[in-house]
Amino acid sequence: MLQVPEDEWKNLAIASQQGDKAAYSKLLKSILPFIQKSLIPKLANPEWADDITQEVLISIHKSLKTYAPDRAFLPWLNAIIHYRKTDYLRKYYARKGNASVPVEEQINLKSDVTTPEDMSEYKNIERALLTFPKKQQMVFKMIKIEGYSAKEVAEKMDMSETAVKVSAHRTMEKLRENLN
Amino acid sequence: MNDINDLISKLEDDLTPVKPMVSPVLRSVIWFFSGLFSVLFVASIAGFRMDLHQKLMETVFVGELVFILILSASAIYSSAWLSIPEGAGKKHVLYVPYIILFIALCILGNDFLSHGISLDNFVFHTCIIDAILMGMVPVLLMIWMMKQGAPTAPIMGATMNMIAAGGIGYMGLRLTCGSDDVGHMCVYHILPFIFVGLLLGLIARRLYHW
Repeated sequence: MLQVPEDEWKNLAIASQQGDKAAYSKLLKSILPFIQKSLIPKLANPEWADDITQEVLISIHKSLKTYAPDRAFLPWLNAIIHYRKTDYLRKYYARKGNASVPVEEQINLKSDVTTPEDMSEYKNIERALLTFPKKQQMVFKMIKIEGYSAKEVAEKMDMSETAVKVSAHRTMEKLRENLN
Repeated sequence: MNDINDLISKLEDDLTPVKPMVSPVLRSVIWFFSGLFSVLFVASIAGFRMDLHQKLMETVFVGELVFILILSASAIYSSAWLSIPEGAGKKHVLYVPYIILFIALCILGNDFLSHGISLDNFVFHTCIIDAILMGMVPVLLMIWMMKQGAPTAPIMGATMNMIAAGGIGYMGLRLTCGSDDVGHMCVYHILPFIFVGLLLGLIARRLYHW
C-alpha cells in the first residue's frame, strides 16, 4: 500500500482554494507521482499516462471548488483520476474503432508496427535497441514488436506486470530520444 | 515530463481564490424547497383538484404524498453528492432512492393488479402539459446544480435527477388531477418523466462533461 501525505495535501488544497500559488504548485508537484503510479498499472499502454496526468491536473484546477475541507482529500483525487482515465480510454477506443479497416483492403495503418516504407527505420530501431540491457531488449521486443500482452511478458520473464509496462515505456522514451 | 511541468506553471499562474461549494446537505435543502415551491406555484395556476380538501383527510393519499416526497428528497440528496467528484463512491446514499423507488413501484404494481385500469385509448391529456410544466423547473434546477459541481458519474446523476424531479412533479400532479386511476397515473403522470429521463440519460455524458 502506497503511503501518501494526505493531511499535507489537504492543507495545501485548502491554501490553494484561498489563492496561495506556492501551495498550489507544491500540491500539484506532490500529487504528480501518486497520479502516475495510480495510472500506469491500469493502462495497456504506459505512454497514455502522461496525457491522462495532464488531463487530471487540468480537472483538479477546474474542480478545486468542489473539494470541501471537512472531507478527505484522497477519495476526491482518486475520483478525478478514475473519471479522467475512463474518459480518455473511452475516447481512445472510439477513435480506434473509427480507424478500423477490413483486412482484405491491405491498407497500412499509422498504428502498424512496420510497413514496407518503414523498413529502414525499423532497422535503425533494431540497431538502437542493441544498446539496451538484454532483459530490457527482450521485454520491449515482446511487448512492442511481437505483440505479447504485458501479463504474458510478465509471466515469461518472471517480472511483475507493472515492471514490464514501466520497462517498455522507458525503453520507448529512450529510443525516441536516441533516434531523434 | 517537461510538458507536465509547463502545465503546472500555467495552472499556478491561472489560480484565483475559490469559495468551496456548500455542503451537499445544504444544497439538497435549497433545491428541495425551490423545486417544491415551483411545483406548488404551477399547481396553483393549473388549479388544485376539486376534492383536494377531502383527499387530504385520507391517510392513504397523504401517505402517498409523504412517501413520494421522501423518494424525491433522497434522490435530491444523492444528486447533490453526485455533483462532486467523490460522490459516486457514496454507495449507501445512492442505494436509498432505488430502494424507495422499488417499494413505490411494488405498491403501484399491486394497485394495478387489484384495481385494474380503465384507460381505453391514449389521448393528449392536459396532465401531460401539467407534467411538463411541473417537471421543467425542477429538472432545470437539477441540471444547474449538477453543472455547478464536477460530476464523475453522469448517467447515475441524470437518473437521480429524474427520480427527484419526477417525484416532485408527480406529487404536484396528484394535487391538480382529479383522477386516482392507476392506469391514468402511469400513462399521464409517470410516463412523461420516464421519457424525459431517458432523453436526459442519453445526453448525460455530454451534458455533465467538464
